[in-house]
Amino acid sequence: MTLGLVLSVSPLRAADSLDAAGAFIQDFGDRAVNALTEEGLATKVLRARFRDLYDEGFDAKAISRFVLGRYWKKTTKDERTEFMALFNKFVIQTYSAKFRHYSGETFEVTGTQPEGNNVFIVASRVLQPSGDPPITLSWRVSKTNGSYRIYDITVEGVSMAITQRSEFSSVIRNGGGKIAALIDALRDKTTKLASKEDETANTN
Amino acid sequence: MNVLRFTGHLASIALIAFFAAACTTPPEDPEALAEYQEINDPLEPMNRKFFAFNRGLDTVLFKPLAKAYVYIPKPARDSIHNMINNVKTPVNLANDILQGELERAATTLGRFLINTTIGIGGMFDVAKHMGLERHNEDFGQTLAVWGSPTGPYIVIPVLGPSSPRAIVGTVADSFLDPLTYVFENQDAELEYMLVRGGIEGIDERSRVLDVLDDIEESSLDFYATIRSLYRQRREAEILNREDGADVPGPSFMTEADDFPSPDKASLVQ
Repeated sequence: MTLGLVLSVSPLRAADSLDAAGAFIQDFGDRAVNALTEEGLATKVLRARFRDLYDEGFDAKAISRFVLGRYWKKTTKDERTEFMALFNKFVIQTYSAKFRHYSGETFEVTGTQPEGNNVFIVASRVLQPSGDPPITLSWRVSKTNGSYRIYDITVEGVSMAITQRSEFSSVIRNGGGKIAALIDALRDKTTKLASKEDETANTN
Repeated sequence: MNVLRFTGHLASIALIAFFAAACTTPPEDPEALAEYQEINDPLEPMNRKFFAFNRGLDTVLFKPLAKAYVYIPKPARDSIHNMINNVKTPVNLANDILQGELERAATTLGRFLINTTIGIGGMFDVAKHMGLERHNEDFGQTLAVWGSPTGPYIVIPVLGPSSPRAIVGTVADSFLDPLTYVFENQDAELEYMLVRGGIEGIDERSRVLDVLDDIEESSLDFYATIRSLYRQRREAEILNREDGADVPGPSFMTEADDFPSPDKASLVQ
């Protein structure tokens, strides 16, 4: 519905991409809400569903690199491989858990704007059945080889990528500037969270 | 207004200077220095102590209170929440005007008139259903709009994350609140502050019970996560970005070094 608005102000080709970016997020968001807010899902199932969506829609490589910030260049190849594997696991465990408290929400894209070459910001909101104010989400999406990939979500003005990078750099600094400190912390955390696999998710 | 601007500016700069005396020394390496400035937390050792103290206080007091509070049926809690917001109107309105946001000032005023009358003393947020959405303004935000620097991150015992600019803002807001003077006349301004702060605090805490538990469970460094969340939220409030448009975030193509396009993000560089 917002697409018409966009069309009238943008050149046709750019508008096509904008349309497509918005449509991609609307479709992705709808499927995510359906798959992840189902009541009584076992943690294991919730995580598996989240993993599929994450693999499909997100640019995991670019995100891994961003959250390491200036430390990325200082890592060895082995460290990167290990970090990326642990970080992906961490994202799946922690972000899937955030859906435990939701059910009955609806998702709508409210607008799309370009942010440079083949990069788009898609604004959206999640309407809550409780009647509490909607949650605003912005998605940063890039288009490569004709397909769209998400590389950040901003929730109520808070960028997940920036928050994660800020936390990780703090762990590295407090670990004497060593990437190994972060890898150890991630390994501990993911091992701990993995033990929750057998619990049944509670939906409030 | 110029006097207000000058005094507010001066007060936040004075506070920043005061806290600067207790700061750690910045690193010399340019990249480390850039990071140090971005984090902007020279008082981190002290802040972490206060943060730990606040967490303890939360565990034994605020969280249990908030958990008990949610036993009150949601409609009643919503009414309390709405009334708190309605009472904040004068401060909101004053800051809307001081920031030159006249359209938002009209919204604030309209909401107050509608909710106080049809909404029965602010118990029901009728205005929301008429398209007048709530927003929050405070003098800390006004100072930001006027160009005062935020200063370093500060964790205040009991109250939590803040900054010199936000502290000055809170003090100024109490002067902008007509109820301060009403209760001052009764010699009860301290009681008013405590009761109001208490109710607001419990209301706010009860709304983030699940969210904060999640964040804590998924954090490697809870302190650093909260610091980042606080900063970004504050920034979004200052820029009035409630609609989710024009949000900051990693730029994908321009900072090739930080955030490479997928084809460049090869593992073997």
